Amino acid sequence: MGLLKHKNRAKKPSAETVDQDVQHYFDAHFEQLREQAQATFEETINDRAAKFSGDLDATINRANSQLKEHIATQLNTQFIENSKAMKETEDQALESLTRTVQTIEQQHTQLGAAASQAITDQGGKLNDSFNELQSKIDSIKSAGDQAIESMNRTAETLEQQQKQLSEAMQGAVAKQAATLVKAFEENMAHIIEQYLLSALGDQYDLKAQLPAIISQMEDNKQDIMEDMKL
Amino acid sequence: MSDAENQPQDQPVPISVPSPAQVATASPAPAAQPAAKTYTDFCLPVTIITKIDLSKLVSDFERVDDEMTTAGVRAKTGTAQSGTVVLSDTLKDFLVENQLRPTTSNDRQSLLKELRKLKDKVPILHMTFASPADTDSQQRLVKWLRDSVHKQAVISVGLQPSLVAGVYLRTPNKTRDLSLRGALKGQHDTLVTQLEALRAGR
Repeated sequence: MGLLKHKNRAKKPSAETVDQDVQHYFDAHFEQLREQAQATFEETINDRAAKFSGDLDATINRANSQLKEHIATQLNTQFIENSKAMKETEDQALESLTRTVQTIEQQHTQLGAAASQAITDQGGKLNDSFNELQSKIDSIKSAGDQAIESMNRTAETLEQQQKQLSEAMQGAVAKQAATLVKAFEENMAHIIEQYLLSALGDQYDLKAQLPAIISQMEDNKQDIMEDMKL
Repeated sequence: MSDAENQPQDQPVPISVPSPAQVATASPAPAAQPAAKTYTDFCLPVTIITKIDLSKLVSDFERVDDEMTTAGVRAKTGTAQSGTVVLSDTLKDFLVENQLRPTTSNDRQSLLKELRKLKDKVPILHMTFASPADTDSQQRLVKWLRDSVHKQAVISVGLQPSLVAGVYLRTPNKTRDLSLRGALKGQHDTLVTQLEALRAGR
């Protein structure tokens, strides 16, 4: 196509057309060059990338293998150390257990002896306490017998007192009854007197009483005369 | 009745009460006039029962003496007379019963003096009755008292219904319960004895 353009300009060349044709020429050339360079660059890049990829894979594989070896080595070392420490720890624990067992056995022995001693002591104390309790029970029984005897005596005394009280109360009741009868008789005398007074009180006026009064005064005339002497 | 009551009573001597003119012209005491009569010689009429009556008698006689003295003075001076002197029945009875005629001022003064003595020294018998004492009964009692006990005695009357009947006497030194209540009170023990006997009989 460029070639077609170049043919048209050759028919009517001008400065501007020339410049443009030149420009078109270089542009096409440059374009071609650029495409060649690009292809080359891409091919190179691809080659290099493939190589780099192969190298990288090899490197990674080698690094992996080395890392595995290193880790295995480290682990083995650590395992060995750990085994050794565990062994030591196990030994120490076993030794400690042995000592503890021995201590416990000693303490057990001592405890058994102490318990035996305590049981012996408690047995003695229990025996003493039993004896003391037995003596107390004996004394309580004796006191109970005395109390029962005292209660029997008190009951007899109370019975006697009750009998005496009953006799005294019967006497007092009889006496009180006699007193009441006597008081009743005296009161009856007052009642009869009051009855007579109230019955007779309104029956006489002074004129009716006058002869009797003068008669009574006549009987007391001598005394009255002696009293009334000037 | 006592012997004293059966004795005949003294008849009062009728006398005329002197008028002021008679008083003014009266001569000195005649021979019939009881001379030097003291209060112990006086007889009291039955109308004078209590000491109050005797006090009234004295007051009445004082009044009469005043009026007669005034009348005498007026008669001497020739002043008009104010009227006649009025004597109470009690005073009249007293003067008649004692045959007194105190026409002169001296006689009246002497009589007044004796009457005051009598009022102060009159013997009193306190008598308490169960019912109110009427005047007649009081006069009968006073008459018996003056006939039998003392001719100038008066009584002082009281009332105590609880006595029922009879009289309760009180002389200057003693008391005497002559009432029915006193009689029954004295029989109290007898009544109790009879009730006891009645109860024992049952």
